[in-house]
Amino acid sequence: MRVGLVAAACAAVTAIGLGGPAFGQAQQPQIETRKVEGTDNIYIFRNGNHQAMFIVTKGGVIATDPVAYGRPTGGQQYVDEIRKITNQPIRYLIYSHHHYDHIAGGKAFKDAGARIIGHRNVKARLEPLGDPNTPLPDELVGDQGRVITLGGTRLELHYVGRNHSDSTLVMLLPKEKIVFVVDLLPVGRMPGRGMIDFYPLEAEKSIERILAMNWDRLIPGHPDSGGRLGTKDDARLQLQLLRDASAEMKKLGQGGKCWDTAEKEFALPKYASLPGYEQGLPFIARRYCGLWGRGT
Amino acid sequence: MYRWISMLVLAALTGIAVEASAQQPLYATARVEGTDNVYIYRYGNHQSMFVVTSGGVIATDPIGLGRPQAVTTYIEEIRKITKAPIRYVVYSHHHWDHIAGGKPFKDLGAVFVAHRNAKTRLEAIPNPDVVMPTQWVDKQHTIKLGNTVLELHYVGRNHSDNSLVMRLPKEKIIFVVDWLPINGIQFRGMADTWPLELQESIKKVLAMDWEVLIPGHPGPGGRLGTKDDVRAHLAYLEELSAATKKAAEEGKCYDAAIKEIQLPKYESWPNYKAFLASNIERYCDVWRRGI
Repeated sequence: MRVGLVAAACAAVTAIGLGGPAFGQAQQPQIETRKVEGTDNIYIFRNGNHQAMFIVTKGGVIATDPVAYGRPTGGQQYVDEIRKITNQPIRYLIYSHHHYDHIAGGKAFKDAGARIIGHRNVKARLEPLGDPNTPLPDELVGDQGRVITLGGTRLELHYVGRNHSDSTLVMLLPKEKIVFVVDLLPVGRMPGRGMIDFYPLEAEKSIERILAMNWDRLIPGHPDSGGRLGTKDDARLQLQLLRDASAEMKKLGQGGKCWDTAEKEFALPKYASLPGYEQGLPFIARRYCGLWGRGT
Repeated sequence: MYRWISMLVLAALTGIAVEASAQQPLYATARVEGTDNVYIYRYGNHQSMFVVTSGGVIATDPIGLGRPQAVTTYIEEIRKITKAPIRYVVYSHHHWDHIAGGKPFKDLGAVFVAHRNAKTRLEAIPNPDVVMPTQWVDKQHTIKLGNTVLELHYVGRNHSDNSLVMRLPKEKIIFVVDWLPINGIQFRGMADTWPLELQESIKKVLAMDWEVLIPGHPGPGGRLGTKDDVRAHLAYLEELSAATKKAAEEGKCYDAAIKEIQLPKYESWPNYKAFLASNIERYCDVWRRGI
């Protein structure tokens, strides 16, 4: 069953490509912009190993994550890429969550007149840190979410609880049946370092809520698995992986083995073929030891 | 300058530090030197303060995760000193390794006390071995029992979002668990910690009036802490934070930062080598990703 899912996910690489050469190759350019196949106006801007969605409408552009951490010109390069497609004003810049590697670099958008939107916890998190490269949102979204309607496009911002952070917004394009979800749902790969900020039990609930939404394709925040888009099967695989990880560590943690012994013994052999398995496993073990060995 | 604990059972040590050596007994109870009624109960590598008053006993963390005998032994140790009723069990924070196993105290009628945020935490991940408190502390609460005053202070988020600083104002003793190591850096990857708020919490603790710190894990040689220890630890965190911030700005987080950052001032601390890399990693999360 699980092997079947992984196989299906692999098969999907060819079925749901972006129509161009696969991401993730050594010779790929640093920056790349692609239109999502089957749409007129949904784009993915990739800078290195991070990516963001933007939408071009006749009422202006909705951009998301600047993905310019440690790349002083990254924000402007993103704006320049949009400018190659349209001269419409950039109306919005929406933050997927508060982590710098996705949202640093917003100044170029602000200078272009965009209004920055993020969940209210983005502000609570970032204000004390005072990062000069990450402007705070101009508008905060509460837990009830928000809908943006611009030039015939409807973009829904959903807050589905705490998961990869406490400030994650799921961005859903209902007409196009596309979601943009960053870091919570890697596509065909093992989760890893992102577990530091992770709410394990609530993340499972979040994924269930995302699965209940009406969408066919998922744009991830990193170009996983050759840059293909995700499917609901990919999301189900991540949910199952988290449940399996939790159950496995629950045995070890309640047996009094956290931290060191449990982390040594912890393994998820069903998922050993997923890219990033070896690197990701210790981060997952550490997080779930906290949960089942310390109650946190 | 340092005040040491003297083991009741090994009174012959006469004030010399208790060696945390391999041959130390599984558990021990020691009266804090210079006090009549403040004790430390240690079981394995965890410890807990209790206070004997004319009105009864105030106990703290049961430290019984996966070892119910640690809790029954805790009660037997108290009973060797006094037959007075055990009135309270105060939780230092919600982590199970410190607070699991309290049921024998509850059976004796003790009232369990914790910070209010611990309620949310304990309800979210129910553990049948953790007794749910019935009294919740917000910013501050004072327990007066017999002629003893015990203040419970919440100084913000640090090692958890519900850590209580327990202060005995008359004795000038505080009991703080897990976030003020003595001669040590932070444990592993500082799981569950808010690093910048931890630094603020420490400043608040330094502003309080106290002389002796009882930690939740025995310090080197079992000695207790002083304000100098806490100042040294705060300096360590500030220096680590500054060094990691600089490394993050130079694009060096994670790997290069972990390789390059060294804080030789602290390398004599016993856990420096074991945990520096994961401490750096945690501050990389702060300064590279805003976590």
